[in-house]
Amino acid sequence: MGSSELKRSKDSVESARWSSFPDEVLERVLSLLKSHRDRSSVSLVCKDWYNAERWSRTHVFIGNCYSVSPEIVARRFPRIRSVTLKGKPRFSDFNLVPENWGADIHAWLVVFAAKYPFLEELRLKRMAISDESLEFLAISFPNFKALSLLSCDGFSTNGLAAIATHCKNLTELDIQENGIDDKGGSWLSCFPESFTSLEVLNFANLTSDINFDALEKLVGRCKSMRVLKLNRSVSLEQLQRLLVSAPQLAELGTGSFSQELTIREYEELESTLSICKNMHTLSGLWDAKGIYLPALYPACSHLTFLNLSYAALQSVELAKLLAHCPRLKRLWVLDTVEDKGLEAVGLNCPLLEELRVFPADPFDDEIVHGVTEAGFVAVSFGCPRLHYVLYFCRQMTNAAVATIVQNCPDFTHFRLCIMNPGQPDYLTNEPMDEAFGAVVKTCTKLQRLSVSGLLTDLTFEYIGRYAKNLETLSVAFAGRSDWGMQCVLGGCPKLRKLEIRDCPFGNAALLSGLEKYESMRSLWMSACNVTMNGCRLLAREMPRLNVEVMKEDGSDESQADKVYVYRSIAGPRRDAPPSVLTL
Amino acid sequence: MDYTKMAKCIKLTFDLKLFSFPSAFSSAVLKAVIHLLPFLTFSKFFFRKRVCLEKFVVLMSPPLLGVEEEGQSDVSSPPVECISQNDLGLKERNYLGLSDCSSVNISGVSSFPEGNSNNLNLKATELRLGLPGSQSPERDADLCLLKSGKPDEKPLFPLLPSKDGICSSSQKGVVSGYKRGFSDTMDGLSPVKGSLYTEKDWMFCGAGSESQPVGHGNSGVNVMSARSSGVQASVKKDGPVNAQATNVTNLKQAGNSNLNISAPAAKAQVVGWPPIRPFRTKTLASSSKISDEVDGKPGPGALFVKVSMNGAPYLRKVDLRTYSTYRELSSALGKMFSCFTLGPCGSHGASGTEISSESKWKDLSHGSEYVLTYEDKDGDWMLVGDVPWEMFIETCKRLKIMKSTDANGLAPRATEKSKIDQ
Repeated sequence: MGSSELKRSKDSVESARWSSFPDEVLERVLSLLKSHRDRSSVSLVCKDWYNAERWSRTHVFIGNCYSVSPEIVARRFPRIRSVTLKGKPRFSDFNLVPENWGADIHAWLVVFAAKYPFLEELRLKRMAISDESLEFLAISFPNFKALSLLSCDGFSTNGLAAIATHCKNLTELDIQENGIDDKGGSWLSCFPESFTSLEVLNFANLTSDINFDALEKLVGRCKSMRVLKLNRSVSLEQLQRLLVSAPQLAELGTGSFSQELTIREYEELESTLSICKNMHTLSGLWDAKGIYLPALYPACSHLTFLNLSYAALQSVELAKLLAHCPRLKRLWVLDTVEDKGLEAVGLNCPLLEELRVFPADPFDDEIVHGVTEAGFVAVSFGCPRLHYVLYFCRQMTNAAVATIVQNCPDFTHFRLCIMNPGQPDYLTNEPMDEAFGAVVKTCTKLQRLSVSGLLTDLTFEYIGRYAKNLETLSVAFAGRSDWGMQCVLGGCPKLRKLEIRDCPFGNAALLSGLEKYESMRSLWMSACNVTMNGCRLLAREMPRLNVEVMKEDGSDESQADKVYVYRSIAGPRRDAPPSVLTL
Repeated sequence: MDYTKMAKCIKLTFDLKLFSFPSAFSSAVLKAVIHLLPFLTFSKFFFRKRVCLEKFVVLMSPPLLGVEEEGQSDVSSPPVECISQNDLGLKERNYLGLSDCSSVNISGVSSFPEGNSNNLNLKATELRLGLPGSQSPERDADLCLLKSGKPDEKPLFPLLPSKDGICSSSQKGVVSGYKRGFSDTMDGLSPVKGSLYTEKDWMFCGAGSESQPVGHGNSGVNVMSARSSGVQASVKKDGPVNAQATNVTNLKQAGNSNLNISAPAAKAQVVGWPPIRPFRTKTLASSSKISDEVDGKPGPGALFVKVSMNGAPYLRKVDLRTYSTYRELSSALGKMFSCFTLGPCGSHGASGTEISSESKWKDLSHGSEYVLTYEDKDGDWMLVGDVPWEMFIETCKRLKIMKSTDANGLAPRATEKSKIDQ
């Protein structure tokens, strides 16, 4: 026997010993594994398990579309039915990334059309997708069922029309917070008369009027619809008509909640809503008028997620509403509810796990309203299960944060945004170091942290030392020297995403993480003190990292204005626009 | 006295007002100042790279343009004396009253040497009285000096004739700040905050060519829309390229080697801050716009009007619905603006603030110094106090605290009515 055959037979003997049951059984068992992290672990066990895993995987999650190429994915996983792809760096949501940066889905769709003709689901986040791509998608995959677009751009309602026209088996159309070119509501009419399979319809993102007739008929014939999120153009009266044909809805996003109603119309609405006993998620409520909110009360008894982030409620209105929502687990509000509203949250929602408070007027400095540290503290006293918070405020103190994490030590996501960059503790005028120190020391399960306010390197020392489970860190206008970033890169063993803007971190900090970046998904640094030479050095030392620098017009030649570093097995990308230099 | 010197004096005035007070009061005032200036605290200027300077510039210039010379010098000459009296006794502090602070932090500056506390970008805090977009030659020179050379060059304009080095925030911030001042303020002179630009630009960036001026409460809606159309023009990408080009060219000519000019001047000053998705800001903006269109009508909800005061560097907004009488309004305004009306060298104990400011306001409003005026729906400026309160809040679009000498020619109010309460 040749040496290779010898080796092969040795391997098979080895593997026969280890995998003591047939491949089919292993695949069957592994197909029950849903978490992609578990699957990654499984695939590392041995070659057999790797193969079994890849043949049994039906859903692939790609956190950075440039970390891998579609061909590589198709080669490894032959049986994919569902793909989740994320593209641009998160700061593209805040206009920090040039428009034509990339993350175009089309190349992926072409490969998928060839390799995964039975693709059913596509979930995209921060990708660029054109109408042509949407049409291509609609035509190429006869079994296509679910499309979810979050924070994407490049397409218009014409693309949606193509989806509606061609996807005969569509169950989910979820368009969220995208940069969509809204050309009108006629796309809804493109669903054929025979089409009845829709279960999830979310077009809250769109601004133009839709053809209500078509919508009413669509909702009427899709008996399995469980998620319906309307846009603002749908009035209360229209909502009532829709609900009559869809009382089974589990998630409802209302349209505009402020139409003038007669008493009779109001009562009709109230009675229709009271039939919606399955409702666990309520959102929309655009321009909600306090006087109509009581119509919702009967529908709120099983509510677990209430999204009021587009309804500028006052504190009293919120308090009254929350009195009817005892089971609430997730709450999103605008800061118009103020601290008093948040006190009501603490009083009425003991099961609360997630709170997001958005600013109603983020760019208006003059109005000293909104929420303060007092509101956050009040919630923490009343809601010990709180583990996810996103809080926009204009003032905060170290003591308040210490109290908050003492009350709620289970934080996994702590995102605090003190809207004035570099603002200290407003009572003591000290930096907010101790606040975030308390967070990382007390909340051992912390996975995601966004810091703000006046911060010295001490904050980052704390983070590096204590945040052992931290995966995502967002930093802006903070730190004093390279040492801060070095602490984070030297600590935080589980760090995957680090995004930094407007901090005094330079090349020394950037290069201190040389070994770290390959274990991370990505690093973003903008408006820091990193130079082109530093980036070139990084690119040279770490060939498996893609180091991209985005230059701005008129900026200094040697400064690297925006740096995006990520690991990739696909090599440097070839579709970068001229403003993006790949080193 | 040229504008630059005036500006420096006024700036010193503000600084010293805080410094010269007893520490308890000063910390209370500081707290109030921080409350009052969420975005305008000087700390921002220190710490932020791209400084919202023109916010400050814009605020300064239009109200002050209307102020006579003597108005300026009234305010500024006393401080000069105060400076000489007080500066030796003063601990070097940054604007927040933090001394030699380890807590002072400037983002974006890796350059400053270790242990260099008091990193103040004083240039950035300097009050400018020129037209927005205009630059005195001295300022050009300042810019040049600031920009030339390496990041670790210190700024050259100490707050006080002071000893140890005071570092600038990164030149980037400073110059970008000035840059902002050019293009976006070139079009109009109305007292609109720079953050408005942020917001508009924000929306423009996120929303393509959609242009929605953001409502900011009731008053000044006209102002706003005029402003916004002006800003729109400069913000749209195919807008007046000249403004932007001039802007960038100016800065380039200034020998700006270390500049990090973020994007063409049309973009928001601090791009992407606060971190909110464009869809949300656009949506909220259009809701507030809708609500603004029905503003001025009595109804539920807040009725915000802007309050400006000659000589003050920033505007405040008050919700007229939170008051039910003129007395309440005037006492609230008196407290808000007390740091200006009390004069630079007045020192009052913390306990005395409440009483003194109200009585002082009354004295001031009766006596000689200041009167409260408002702009009604027809655009006329009237003295506050003539009409019943309900009628007043229905018609009031904007408030202004004027010197009584300036208020000549306004609709006279009955002088017998010495108490402006109902």
